[in-house]
Amino acid sequence: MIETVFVESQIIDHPITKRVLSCLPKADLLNINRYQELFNKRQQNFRLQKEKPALILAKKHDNFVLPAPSGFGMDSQKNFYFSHMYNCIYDCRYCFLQGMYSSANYLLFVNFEDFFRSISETIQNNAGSSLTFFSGYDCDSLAFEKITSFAQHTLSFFKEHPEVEFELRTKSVNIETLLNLEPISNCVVAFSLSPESVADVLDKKAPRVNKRIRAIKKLAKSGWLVGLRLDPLIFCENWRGLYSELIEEIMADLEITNLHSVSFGPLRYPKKMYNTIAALYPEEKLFAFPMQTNGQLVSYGPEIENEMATYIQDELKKYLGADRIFQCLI
Amino acid sequence: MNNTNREFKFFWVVALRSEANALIKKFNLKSFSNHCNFPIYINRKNGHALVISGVGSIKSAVATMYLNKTFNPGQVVAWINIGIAGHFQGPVGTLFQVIKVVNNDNGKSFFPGLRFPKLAKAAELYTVSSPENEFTLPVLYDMEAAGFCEIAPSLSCNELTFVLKIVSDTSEQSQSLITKKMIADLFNKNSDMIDNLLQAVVKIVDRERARLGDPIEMDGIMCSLHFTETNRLRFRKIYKKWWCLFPNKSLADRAKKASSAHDLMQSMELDIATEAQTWKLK
Ligand code: SF4
Repeated sequence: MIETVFVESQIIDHPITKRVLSCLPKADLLNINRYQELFNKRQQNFRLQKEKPALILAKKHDNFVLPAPSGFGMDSQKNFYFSHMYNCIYDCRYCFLQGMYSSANYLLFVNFEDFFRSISETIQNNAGSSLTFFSGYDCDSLAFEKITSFAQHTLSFFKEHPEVEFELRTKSVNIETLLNLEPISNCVVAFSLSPESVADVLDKKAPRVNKRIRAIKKLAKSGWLVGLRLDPLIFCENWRGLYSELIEEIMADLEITNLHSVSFGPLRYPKKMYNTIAALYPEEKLFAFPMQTNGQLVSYGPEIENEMATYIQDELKKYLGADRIFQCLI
Repeated sequence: MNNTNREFKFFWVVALRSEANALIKKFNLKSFSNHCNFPIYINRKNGHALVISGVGSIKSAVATMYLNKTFNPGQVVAWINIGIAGHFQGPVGTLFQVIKVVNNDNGKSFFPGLRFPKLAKAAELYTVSSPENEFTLPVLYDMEAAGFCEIAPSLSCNELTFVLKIVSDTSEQSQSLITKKMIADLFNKNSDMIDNLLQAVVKIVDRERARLGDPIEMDGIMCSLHFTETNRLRFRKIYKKWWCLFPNKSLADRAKKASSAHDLMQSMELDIATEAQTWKLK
């Protein structure tokens, strides 16, 4: 549970701030000027902080919407992402956020309205192109829903913009908000998944895979478009069997017409980020693997990557057409 | 090889002799040195070291650096600034864990320590350059913490830098009533709470030392074979991976038989590559 909340003085009266604080009545509350004075401090110990992250409520001033890195996303002409929050309540061992920020504190930008204004502008500026917006790049989109109501706000916004597609990426099974809404035809709820025994070791604090699969099926059954994100693919003993089982389990009784897409991607890091994360978890076997460094990129190497990609693709093709299967390469 | 001193786990920085006396007694500290107006007291057995900084933010910063220079304790120790402070409300005798420190002179803020909400109440503190009697803000007031926080996190890390303050005066109860005896009483009253906090802190220190420390036999191996500086770094990296995979194996015998450092590292890499064929995540 969150024990400490820091709030930028300028947004203390913002409705989202009030909502969040009302959900955390026992937390210690302190005012700050700007979130950077706390979040960007040097000499923070990410791993220790991750044990008890504080919540920072702040206002974002710029860069609300950014072009998604190339290789991210499906077949739209243009992909954009936006991050209303930095850091995540889950603690997946491979998570790149561990190497991205010096702080493990949760940073929530409460001025959702500015995000929506900026998304509207992006839509206007790209009229005629097929656009997809992603949320859940720097956090989990749904995990904090009970406190932030972010998904609810965002889905209502995109409902009014049927000309673009929106993907909400998550590992959370907090799907009540979604089940209480009418499915929105341009919104995809995409779940990240690994085989159960892999997730049991690496997806720390995240909902178990069988619960995620149950949530996916429930959503698809109630008419929501769902996405499957087998990302990152983790290499381990019997990976073929494990991934086949996972895919089989998901596809059984899944309302396949509501399966928007399946994507998969390799485990890859920029070199500096990999070294930072590996140093945080020297006891973690994931980082003891003899990874290959190619230029500035650390990965399992082309041999393993290609073998896994081909296998996963073949397995998926047993259930759906190639037009719904994508490989992400970032 | 590193030359850090791992005997100590707690480094205390206190402003006043009477605050120090309470801790000297509590932890059975002995005088170690008395140079540069910064008396140091230590107890190697229980891992405590303390410096008396004198009053003021700059003195606190310098004393922190001085204590660190004296013992070179490495990065995994707890730095604690404890002392009395004024508070707008009190009550006198309450111990607070300070989670935000503001330097009143320049507005700079610090956010020390992992929070222990079950053990102590949280508070914000303003470090001022002259004694505060007005208590205009709902915070604590002292004259040292900002200086301490400017330095201590860079010696260890922010999460192992702690500021603990005991309320000694309020708008109702003037500073002029503070005596040596009163300070001793305030510390005594909070002795159990301090012990509880230290128990929580030492767990973190021990865990971090286990995580960040080198395997015990590593130094010996690096002495027994010739390693270039680059190879030392490489060996440390490979050894940590190797140790993660084979925590119950010893490398010492193999190192004795190895013809060179390069040879040894190659054999370790081969072990890791072989293990990768049937990689287990646990
Ligand atoms: S759910 Fe995603 S964002 Fe959260 S810890 Fe896991 S990988 Fe990171």
